[in-house]
Formats: sequence, structure tokens, C-alpha cells
Amino acid sequence: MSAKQFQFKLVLLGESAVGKSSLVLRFVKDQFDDYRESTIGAAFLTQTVTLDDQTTVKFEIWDTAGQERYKSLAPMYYRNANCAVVLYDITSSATLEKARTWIRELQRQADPSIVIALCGNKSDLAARRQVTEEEAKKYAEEEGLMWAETSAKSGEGVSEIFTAIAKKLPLTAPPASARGGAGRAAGRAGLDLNKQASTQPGQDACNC
Amino acid sequence: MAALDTSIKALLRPSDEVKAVLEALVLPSQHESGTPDRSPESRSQLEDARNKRILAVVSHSEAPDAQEEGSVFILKSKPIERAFDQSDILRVFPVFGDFSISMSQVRRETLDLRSSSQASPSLLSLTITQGGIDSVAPLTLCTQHVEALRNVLAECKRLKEVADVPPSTAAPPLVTFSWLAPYTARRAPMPALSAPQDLRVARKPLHTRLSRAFAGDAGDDASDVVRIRDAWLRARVRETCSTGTHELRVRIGTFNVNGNLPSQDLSSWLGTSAPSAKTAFIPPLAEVSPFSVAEPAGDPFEDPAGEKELAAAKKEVAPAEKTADADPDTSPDLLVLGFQELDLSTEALIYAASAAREDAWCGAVFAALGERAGLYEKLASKQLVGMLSVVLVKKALRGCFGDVRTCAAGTGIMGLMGNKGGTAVRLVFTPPVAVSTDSKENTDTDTTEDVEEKETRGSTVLTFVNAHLAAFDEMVERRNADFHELARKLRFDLGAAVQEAGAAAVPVTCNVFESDVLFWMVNLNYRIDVPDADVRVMLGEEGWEGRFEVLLKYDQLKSSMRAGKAFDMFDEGRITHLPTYRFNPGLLRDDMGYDLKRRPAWTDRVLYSASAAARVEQLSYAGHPLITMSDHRPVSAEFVVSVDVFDRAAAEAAAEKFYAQLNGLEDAHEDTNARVNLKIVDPLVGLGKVSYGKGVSRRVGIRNVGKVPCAYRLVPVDGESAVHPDWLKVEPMTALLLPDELAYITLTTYIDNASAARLNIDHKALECTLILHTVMGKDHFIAVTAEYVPTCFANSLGRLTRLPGPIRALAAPADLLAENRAINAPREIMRLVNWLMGPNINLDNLFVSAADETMVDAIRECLDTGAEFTFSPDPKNESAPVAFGETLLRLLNSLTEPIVPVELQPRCVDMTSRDEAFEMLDAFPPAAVNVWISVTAFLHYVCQSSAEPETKTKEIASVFAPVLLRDAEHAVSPVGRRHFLMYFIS
Repeated sequence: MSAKQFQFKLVLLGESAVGKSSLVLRFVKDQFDDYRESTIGAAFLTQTVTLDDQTTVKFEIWDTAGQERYKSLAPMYYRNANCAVVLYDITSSATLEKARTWIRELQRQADPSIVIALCGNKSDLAARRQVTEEEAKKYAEEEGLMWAETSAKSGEGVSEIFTAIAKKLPLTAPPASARGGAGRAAGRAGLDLNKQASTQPGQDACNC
Repeated sequence: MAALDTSIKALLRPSDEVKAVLEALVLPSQHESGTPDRSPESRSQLEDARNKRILAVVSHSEAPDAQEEGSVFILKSKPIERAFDQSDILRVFPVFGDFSISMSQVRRETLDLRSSSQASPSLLSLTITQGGIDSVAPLTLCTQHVEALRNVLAECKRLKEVADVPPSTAAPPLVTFSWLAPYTARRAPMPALSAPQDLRVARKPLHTRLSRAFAGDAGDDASDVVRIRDAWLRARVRETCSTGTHELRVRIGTFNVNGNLPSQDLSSWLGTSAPSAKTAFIPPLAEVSPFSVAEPAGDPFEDPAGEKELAAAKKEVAPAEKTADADPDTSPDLLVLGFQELDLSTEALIYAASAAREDAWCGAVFAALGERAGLYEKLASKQLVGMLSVVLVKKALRGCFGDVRTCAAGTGIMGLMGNKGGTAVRLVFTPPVAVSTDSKENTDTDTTEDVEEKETRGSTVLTFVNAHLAAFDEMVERRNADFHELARKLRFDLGAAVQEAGAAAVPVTCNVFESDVLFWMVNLNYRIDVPDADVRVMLGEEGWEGRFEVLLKYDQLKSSMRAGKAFDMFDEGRITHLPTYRFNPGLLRDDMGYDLKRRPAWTDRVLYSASAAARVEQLSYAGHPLITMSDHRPVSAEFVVSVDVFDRAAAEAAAEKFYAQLNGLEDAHEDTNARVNLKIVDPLVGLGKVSYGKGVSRRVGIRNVGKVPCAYRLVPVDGESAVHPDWLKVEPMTALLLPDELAYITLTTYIDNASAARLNIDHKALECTLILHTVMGKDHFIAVTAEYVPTCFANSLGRLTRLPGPIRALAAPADLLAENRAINAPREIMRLVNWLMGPNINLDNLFVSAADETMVDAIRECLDTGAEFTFSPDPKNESAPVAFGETLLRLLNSLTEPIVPVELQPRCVDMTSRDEAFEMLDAFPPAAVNVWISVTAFLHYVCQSSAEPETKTKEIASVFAPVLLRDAEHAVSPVGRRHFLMYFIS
């Protein structure tokens, strides 16, 4: 098997009810529930993205609780994350404000090499849009973030943003298979190595 | 067929259903060639159980409206009474894609196959082809059951049609057959549960044995799930299979004989009738080995203190010890005796021990048993130089003890020699059927059944270690090391005795901790860390209630156990006897008979440890001062050991059944299943108002809404934190839930002095988030809130004197009085003292009787709120003053610093007169002086009001000195502290 597999830790952050768990469910199982209960906790899931050149990237995804009450626990889950998807709901400007707070916190406290993607979810509800594409994109460019709009419901843009993140990550770590397969412990070992291959959040904001 | 259906159902998970079942045969020749058209060559092939197969059509549905998926299972046939387990599943054919099943008539080549019988049903053959991409050879079976085969074919046809119809919903089809994974995955073999777990592991709470984990870092889920699973299996099997308990009476004795031969009657040690001087035992000297020619009996020196010693000893004969006397029912079933320093000669170290001394001591033991000697026989013994273990058993029970093993290990000179070390005996006890008085079900079975039943009776492993650890006061670390060394070296060779069917993995040796019940009878040589003179003074103070408890706080063994350095997995009964060391008749002695060269100590101890499969109740623990032949006094301890009665075969069957229920537990839920398995019924828990001493409890429901069993554990936020704050107790910290099971976690507030001291300062709103980690799955948060109500307990004296009113009325720390405006003494202490010194107060039982806890709570509440006491003085009411006294004592003890500052205590204990003591008060902080004067004045008043002021003074000083002169480090002499207080109250 000549294919290389890389493993990265990804954390989802954002205001309650912007669709973090739905986005993961769409990405991991290609499913959507109209009624999902609020996440009170943090779920761990994995999904593998195949890049064009026979390289696969396995995401170890932490889907966290959005409620303010549990905000203090978030650092435990984004600690050592290689990438973060910060979600807002395009039908609510307040959620973009919250996303900005998360991004500021990540820039201050997370690993400096973290790749951050700002994601406007619920693009299927464009009729009720409160956040314009321009506004969000401008902010993302200023902060050097990746940006995209997604719809967990229709699936639009979901796999694209994860693939874009996978392409953006420094693929210099030894393949995960060499470390004896999956598992969170093995994943962490890879993360430490990645830290050294530090890449600042990209200047070229991706719009996919 | 119905029974078969049921037993297959037991194998399946609740989401899966048996649709059709068929008994069939596989014929080896056909199996290989794959040709379906040859009939079996002989009748024997038809009869051979190994060729029998069960074919089951199973269907699975995630939800009522979800698409049905089907599969054909091929199972090994088995006797009807044995449940199917996963290893019986030979093949699984999912019904989809190219799956096919076809039947044909078997051509008969041997016409006389069933010549004698009447027209037999024709043999039909059926071929199943695997669907999907795998090109696996089709499987061919044959059967005679036409009707059942018809059902199977119909069901397969239906499921095939369902699978072929594209789903109507917009969502992409998810025909993954992932539900089959748990059936086809190679499961680890069931853990062997019959061998006892190492007590050092089993005695630790399960959650402390799990991997290190915290939020965002699940630790080693794979090993955790196995630990949780095994604990669950053990507990479940025990719960369901125990049919009662059997009580075994065990008397343990330990005696360092200092090289002597028996020269006195040992009956008091053995719990037989009290000795009479006339029948003192004379040992059989003739058979003593030439290497051990020490003076066996008597004392060649004049013994000036002998009379005194004996008098003291007689007074100390433990009244608590109930001697079994002639009543055979209460006499011990097992007598286990550990001797040390049996032979002190240097030759004993070099040459193999002769049995002469063992014989002499065993002879003395049987002689001391008197009339009951005939009831017992020697079951086992083991000697290593001076150490000897002897186990005597009641003859009637001899047959219940099997697989007797012994071992020994030296830790003495060069870490090898047997002058120090241990000997051990391991017994496997199988309770007798007829005598199981507590048994709920087996009482009316007849004798023949009893005999059969005994064959499969479950047994319990009992281990007895006799050890002798390093001597000398300062060698405590060496003794701890000796313990661990012994623990490592003492190993029983089990040989092939436990090689039961299916237990091939049992090791051929085991350590002493791999037992259900473990006793250590030890000449530990652990000493008491109190100055020599103090020890002697305290031991002589018979009126000093609790003097043993005070001294035991300084006991090296107890502190090693507390610190987890050695023996931390053991329990010990309460010591109410005098130290058993040392009485050297050749040396000068104190009034108690202890020689002056060694600090008296409890060197001879009996410790025990038991797994959940047995309970140990200690009936007595005593020293035997009348047996004076050695420099040690013998110690005895009597126990009732209650062991579970269960049927081994039933336990094994239950274990298999429970293990089957855990199918899917070890699967990683997150990768295959994005759904939630555990659901917290209400993740927001409000505990309301919480206050000191009173626990508030709430239950949090957790339901397993998934299709597979699921385990959880609580984890801390990060590596530095605890799982929960100190003001909260959480139980259980880990558990396993079957599908649909609802379990509860109980949260109880727990405000003790340590947490109150911190919370009193400023924490009114308490909150925390508990992180419940689903093993192999997600983290759940449980948010807990409570409102803390402050108390006057656990404050500093300084803070209490700066309170402008009752502590509950204090709104903010800024409202505290300025330091220069502080009141003289805490009003809470003064209120208690004033009430107690009021008229019509019955002070007789103050600090003696146990207080009524509700009353203590009510009094404390009044102090906290400033409300009037609701108890009016009444000379007939004894309980109210007792409760007030107790509240005062506890309040003083809860202060964050003792009344007498720690740094002044060494000076206080040096005071030699009343005047000096009073001068000491000048050094106290002002508030402390005021409290000291009020409290000691009150205590003086209590003593003077007593009928026996002198005794009362000593009693009260013993109670209050450790509180007023609290000393967490145990650095100051307990005798000195008591003396200092006595200057003020006598």
C-alpha cells in the first residue's frame, strides 16, 4: 500500500444551535436529522478524506457543546487541535459575533499553527439571511481564516470545506499507519510532531 | 423447536429477531467437494453431533419504519441446556446482492441406509451462496425437516425482496449490515472469573483502577472497558448465583516465642477454658533437637518483679474476649497459629529445620485444647527457620478443605536468610452442603442430591501468612520494604491442581493476595513513635479513656497503612489490649512488667483482607498476659468468615450468559455510530441550599438508549483536577449499562471542616460540571449548582471575633468588624458555655455519652442564625447538655487553628507548675486567651461538680487536650498536652 494516511485533530466551535453536530453528522455519516437535541458534552468522531494524490487525511473530530454554561470546558477539547471549524448561522448575526469571540480565543490560546475555518451554516435558509457573504468573507480575510458557507441539511459545501482543510494542513507528519493505526493516543503523538512543522494560518483565505 | 428459538434469541441483541430455524447437517465430504447430490455414507455421520448445524434466519431493524435487513446464521449445534454464545456462530450470510439459497433432493446411493425403519423422510440438500463481493465457496447442508426448510426458504425470499427494493426515502440507502459486526467479530475469550483476583487490586475502588483520563482525552478506553466489564461480570455472577452464605469460625494466633519451648498452658491463647495453675503443661523435652538446647522452661534468674507483673497481667485479661468454652458450636473451625523465633540457634539458619520444635509446640497446642483436642487434626504446617505456620481443622470439616498449599520466603540476612521472612498456607474451602444453615434453597434437598451437588460447589480461597519483619524502632522503612519483598517472594506452587476444564490460562503459581480471604499474623516489629516515658505513663493510666487510641495514632504500622506504604489493603480490629512487647525477665522492669530497654509496642498483630466474595467479622482481638514464657505475649483474634455458597456450574453458566449480554460493549461507538448511547435524564442538577454537616442528595438518571451495552466513567477536567469538588460526593464513579437500562448517579453534598473552612470565606454559589465519559464514546456534561450557607464551624478564631452578628447575617466580607473593634471571644463559644453553666443543667454524662445528632445539628443551626436555643435547662434532661457539650467540643475542633497555637505547644508541655502554666497564657493571642479561660473555667466547674472530681478531671483532660492543643503532625507529647490542661481544670 503506497498511500499515505495523516491524522489530525479537528474541533468544532460555535454558538449553540448553529448546527455543529449536524455538520459532523453530514460529514461523517451523510445523514441529517431535522430534530437534534442540544449537545451537552463533547462527541468524538472520525472521518477520512481522500485527497487527489493517493493521500488520505483522517480527521479526529471533537464536536463540542455550544451552550455558554459549558464554555469553560472548551479549551480542554481544542487543546492540541490542528484545525478548528468555527460555525455561525447565516440567519443570525449574533452567532457571527460569537464566532468572532471563539476565533479570538483560539488565536490567543490554541496552538499557534492551528488552521481555522469560519463556516456559515444553514445556507439552505438563504431567504432569512442576516449575515452577508461579503461581511463574513471580509472578516475571514482580515483574520487569515478559511471561509465557506455550508448546509448540513442539503449537504452543500460540507465535504468541500473538510477537503479544503485537509489540503491546507501540513502533510509532513509521518503517516498514521506507521504509528500502528488509529486511536486517540496515536493521534496525539502525531500532533506533537505537527507542531514543529508550524504553518501560520494561511494568508490566502479559501473560498470553496 | 420452541426451546431452540428461545435459546437463539438469547444470543441475539434486542434489535434482532429470529424468523425461522432449521436443524441441518453438514457432511465433511460434501463440505469439501461442494457437491450436493451425494447421500451420507453411513448412519453414523447423521448421528455425529459434530456434524449437526442450526440454521437461523435473523432479521434486524433499526426502527419500526426503517428498512429491514436479513441474514442467515449457521450455528454449531449444542445440548439444549447450554446457551449459545458467540463462538457458536460459524458463518453469517447477509441476505442481499447475490445471496441465494436453493434446495434439491439427495440422490440415494446406499439404499439400505435406513433399511430397518419404515419409510423415512427423504433427505433434502440446500446450498447457500454468499452475497456481496466476497467469492466464498457456497455452503451445503442437508436436512430432513421439510416444513422448517420451507419456512426458511420463504423467509429468505421475503428478505431478499426487501433488500432488492430501493428505499423510498430521499436519504441515501444505508444497507451496511453493520449490525452483523458484533456477531462475526472475533471476541476475546471470556475472562476466567473463578480464580480470586489479587486483593491489592480487588480492594481498590474500580474507578481508581482505570486509566488516567480527562476531558478531551479518553485515556485507554480499551483497557478500561475490560476492567469495568470484568468487575460487572463478577458482581453480577455473585449476585445471581449466591444461594446463601456459610459461616466459618477462624481463630488466629501469633506468638513470638523467643526460642523457648512450651512451658506454660496455652489454653487462654487458644480460647479454651481458663487455665488453672495446677494443670500447667509440661512439654515433652525428650524429643528436642540437639541444636536447640536453650533452657526450655522457667527462668533461671530470680524474678523480683514477677509478682507485680503477674498481678498487672491478671488485671488486664481482656474481659471482652469470649472464650468458647465447651460449646462446640462456637469453637473455631480453623485454628491458625503463627510462631516466630521458634529456634534462635545459629545452626537453625544453616541446617534444615527439624520437626522437633514444631512437634513440641503442636503437642502443647493439642494439650491446651484439652477435651476438645480430639475434635481437631493438623491440616497443614510450614516452617522456615524460626517461623512456623500451623493450621488445625475440625475433623468434621476436614473434607471441605482441599488443595492445601504452603510456601515460605526469607527476607533476613542478605535478603535471603530465614531469620526474617514469612511462611504461608493456602486452603481451598468448599462449604459442606448439609451444614449450610443460612442457605436459602438447599435446606430440603436429600442426601443423594447433596453428594452430587457437592461436586460442583463453588469454593473460596483462604490464605494465612505468618511473617516476621525487621526489628528496631528506626527500621520502619525497612519493615515496609520487607512487606513488599515478602509479598513478591511468597508464591504458592499450584501445580496442576486448578487446571479445570477451560481454565488453561490459570498460572501455575500464585501470590498470597490471590485469595478471597487473607490473614496476616505478624510479628511486625512496628513500634509506637512516642517518647518511651510517655508510652509507659499512658499505658499505666487506666482511667485514661481512649489512651490506646491516642497511642495508636503514633503506631508505625497504622501510619504505614494510612500512608499506603505497606499493608494498606488490610483491615485490623480495634486494639483494646496492652502492648505485647517487651517483657525481658532478665532486665529492669517498669510497673507494668515491660523491661526498660525497649519501648513497649504492639508488635504482634493480626490483619485481614477480604474480597467481595467473603465477609470477615472480628469477634475478639486480645493479648494473653498470663502466658509469660517469652519476651512477647501471644495475641489471638477470632473471626467469623462468611463465604458465598454457590454452585460452580451455575456460576459458570451465569457468567457465560452475562458475557453474552455484553456483546458489542467493546466496539468503538463513535466510529460506527454517530448516535448517542447514553442519555442523561436531566443534566442540570440544582442541589439547593447546602450547609455544614448535612448532606443533600440528588439522583441523576442515566439511560442507555443505544442498542449495545455501554460503560461510563467520570473524568476530571484536566490532569490536575479532581473528578468532583471536595464538597460533593459522587457514587458510582463508573458503571456499565445494558441496552434500555436506567441507572442512577447519586450526588451528595459533603461539607466537612476542610471544605467549610474554604467556602466560609466567600463561596456562596457552588457550581461544577461533571464530565461523564462514555467509554469508547462521547463525553456528557452534568452541571451541578448549589447555594452554600455559611457556618460558624471551621473558621479562624480571628474571623469569629470580627463577625458583627451571626455568621448567616454577614452579607459581605467588608462587613467584618475592624480588627481593633473585634469582640473578646467568639459569641458562639460563649453562648454554648453560658448555656452549659446555667442553672438546672445535668452535667453527669457530659463528654461521656454519645450525643443526639439531630440535637447537635439544631444547636449549630441556632449558633449560625443567632436564633434562641430551643432547649430549656431541665435537670432531668440528660441528652440536651450532652449535645451542647458535643457541639462545643466539635466547634473548638473545627477551628482552622487550635486555641493553643501550634508553635507554643512545645513550650506548654514543658510547664512544670500551675503558675508557670498560667504565665504561658501571656503568649497566647487575645481571643485565644479569652476562649481558653472561659472553656477551662467551665471544665473546672464540670470537674468540681462531679462525684469523683479526680477521675473526671483526667477524663475531661483526655478529651479536651487533643482538641485545644490540636497537633496534626503528632509532634508534641500527648502526655504533656494533657498535663498542661490539667493545671487549669483540676
